[in-house]
Amino acid sequence: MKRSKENEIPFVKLFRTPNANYIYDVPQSCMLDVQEDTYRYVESLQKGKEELVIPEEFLELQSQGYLKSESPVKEIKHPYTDVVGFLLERKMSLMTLQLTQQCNFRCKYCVYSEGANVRQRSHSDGTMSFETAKKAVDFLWEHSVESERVSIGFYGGEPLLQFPLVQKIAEYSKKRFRGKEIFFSMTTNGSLLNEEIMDFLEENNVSLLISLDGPREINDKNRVFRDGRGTFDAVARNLELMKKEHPDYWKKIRISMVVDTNNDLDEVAKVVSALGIEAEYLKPSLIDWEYDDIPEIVSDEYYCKQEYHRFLAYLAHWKRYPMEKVSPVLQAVIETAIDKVEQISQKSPLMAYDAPSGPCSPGQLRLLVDIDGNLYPCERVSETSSIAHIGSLDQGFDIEKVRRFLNASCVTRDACIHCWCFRFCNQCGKRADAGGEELSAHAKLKYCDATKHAAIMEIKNYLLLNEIPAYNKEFINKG
Amino acid sequence: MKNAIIYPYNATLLPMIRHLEEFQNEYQISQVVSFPGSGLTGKDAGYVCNQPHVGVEVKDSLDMQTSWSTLLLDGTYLKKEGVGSELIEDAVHNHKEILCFESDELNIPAWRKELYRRFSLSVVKGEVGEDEIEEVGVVHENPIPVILVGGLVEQADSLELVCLLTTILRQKGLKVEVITDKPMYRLLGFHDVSTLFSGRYSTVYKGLHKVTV
Repeated sequence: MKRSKENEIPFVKLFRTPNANYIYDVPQSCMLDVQEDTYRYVESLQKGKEELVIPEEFLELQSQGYLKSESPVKEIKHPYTDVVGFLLERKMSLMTLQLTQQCNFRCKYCVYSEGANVRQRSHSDGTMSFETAKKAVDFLWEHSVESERVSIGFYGGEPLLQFPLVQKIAEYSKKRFRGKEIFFSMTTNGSLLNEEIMDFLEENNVSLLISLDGPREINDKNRVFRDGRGTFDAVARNLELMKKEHPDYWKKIRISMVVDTNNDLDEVAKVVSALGIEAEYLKPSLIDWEYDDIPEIVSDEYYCKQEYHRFLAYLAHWKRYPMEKVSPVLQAVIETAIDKVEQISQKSPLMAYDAPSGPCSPGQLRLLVDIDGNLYPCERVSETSSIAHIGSLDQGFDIEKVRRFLNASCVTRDACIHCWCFRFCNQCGKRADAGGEELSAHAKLKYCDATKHAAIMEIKNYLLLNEIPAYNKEFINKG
Repeated sequence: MKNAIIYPYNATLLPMIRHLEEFQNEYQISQVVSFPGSGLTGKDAGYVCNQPHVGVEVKDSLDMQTSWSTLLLDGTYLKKEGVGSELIEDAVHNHKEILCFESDELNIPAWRKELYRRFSLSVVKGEVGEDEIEEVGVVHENPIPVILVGGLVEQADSLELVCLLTTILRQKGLKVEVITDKPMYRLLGFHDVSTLFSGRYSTVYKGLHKVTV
C-alpha cells in the first residue's frame, strides 16, 4: 500500500447504485466505474476525513490524468464567442415570426398575460406588417447561405388571427428560397382551425404545435377565451375535424401540454388517449413563472404519481409492462431522456477557456422577430428586456450583445468554474436576466439547485440504462 | 476549350473555378449559376466559402446570349423537387451538352431520376462501378506515399489544398494521382470513388479494385 503525501480533494461528483460505484470526473467530463475502496477514499476526502492509505486504483487513475483537484477552466468563454458573428452572418437556420401580439385566449399562465410574468410584455393589438415579414424573410435569406435548409415559424399571440398574412409569407418565402429546403412551423391554440386553414397547413406540411392542457375540466381552468369561457370544446372540435378530414396530417401534429402540478397527473393525461394522440407527439412542460420569480412547487401527490409512472415507463421500455398503461406525460419524458443518454458519454473535457453547457448561439439556431422587426434569441425571452434585444432587421445583429448573452455565465464565473455541473448546465442568458441593463449573477444562481437536480436525474437515467443490460440481462431477455 | 456553366453552384465547387483550367484542356468555366434560394445569387463566387472575390458573379439563370456549350450539373446539390427543371429544359432546347454528376448513382431520388429521364440525361458513370468492387478483408501494404487531406467540413478548403499539393508535386516531377468522392472532380482528372462512400459497404469491406496508381 502506498501512502498519501497530500490529501487533495478530486474535482468529482460521486454516484452509487446497488451494483456499482461511480466517480464523475468533472475536468475529464467522464463517468468512472470504480472499486469500493476508491469510492470510499474519495468520499472520505470530500468529507474532510484524513485517509492516509490511497487505493492502487486511485493512483492509477491519477497517473492517467483523472481525479485532478483543480478545474482546468481559467476563464468563461463560450467556444462560439469569436465565431458567433460569422455564424449569424452565414448560418442562420430558424426564424420565428411574431405575427401578432393579439390573442383570442387569455390563458392565466401565459407569458403575455396582464396578470402574470410582469417582466414580459402584455397582449396588444400590434400586428406584423407584410413589409416587415418580407424584410424578415429576406434577412434569413441573406444570413443562411451555409444552411442547407431553413425553417420559418409562425408565432403570436395567436398566429391564425393573421391567417392571410401567414399565407402571404409562406408564398413569398417559398419563392425567395426556391431550391433550398424550407420548412414551416406554427404554434397555435387550435381554436381557429377550419377546413381552409387545415388544407393550407397540410399542403405546406406545416409542423403544427397545438396547445392543450388536458381534458375540459383541467384545460379550462387556465386556458380561457377573453370573455372567460373555457376553450376546450372549441379546440377539441377542431382536432376531431382534423382527425376526420386530414388523417395523415393529424398523425404529425404535436400537442404542447403545460402541466399544472396542482392537477391530477392521471386526469391530465386522459385527453391524450381520448383524442388518440401518440405519446411521442406530446410535448409536456411546466408553467413558466421565471419572470415572476415564483418558485416551481410540485405537490406531494403529483410528485408521487409522477415518480411511479416514471418507474412504469422504464419497465415498459424494457417491455415488462404495457406502455399504454403508462401516463403519456411520463412516456414522453422518459423517451426524451433515453434519446439523450448517449450524450453523457460524449461530453468533452473541460478546457482553459470554456463555458457551461446551456446557451445556444443566440439568434443562430432560433431567432425571434417581433412585430416591429426587433430581434431576440428566441420566443422564450422577455421582449421588454434590453439584454435580450439583440438587434433589428434594419440594423442587423448587435454582436456585442449576442456575445454577452452567449457568455451569461461570466457573471457567475467563480461559481461556474468550480461547479461539478459545468457540462450538464442548462442555463442561458434568460436566467440571468433580472430586467436591468446588465446580466444578474443573483438571478442566475437561483436556478442552480434545480439545474443540478436535473443533472442528477439525467445521470441516474444514464446509469440505469447502462446497468440494466449489464447486470440484469435476464430481466431484459424475459421482456 | 469549351465554355461550361456550373449548376447548382455550391461550396464544394469554388476550387473548380480556380483550378479547372490548370488540370485539363477541355473545359473552362464561363458562368456559375445557383438556384434563387441559395443566398448566393448576385454575389461573387468566393462568397460561398467566405473567401476573397474571384471575379465571377453567381447568376440565378442561364445566360443564353453568351456563347457556351456545356452544362456541368451537380445533381447531388439539386435538393428539392422541381428545382432545375426549367434551367435544364432551357439548356436542352438550346442544344447544349449536359454532363450530369451524381455521388451515389444507385440512390438517386425518384424525382431526380424522372428529371433526368424527361430530358434524356444520363449520369456520368463513376470510375469504380458497383460490379468492380471486391469485398476484401485485408488492407495490403502500399509502397506509394499517400497524403490524406481532411477537414472538419469536406468542402472547398480540402479540395483547394489538394489542388495546390497536386500542382506543386507535379512541378517537382512526381506522378500524382488523386482519389476523391466528389464526381464532378473527375473533370480535374481525379479518380472518383464515390461509390465506395455510398453507405452500402461497411468500412471493413471497402476495397479498391480498379484504381491504378
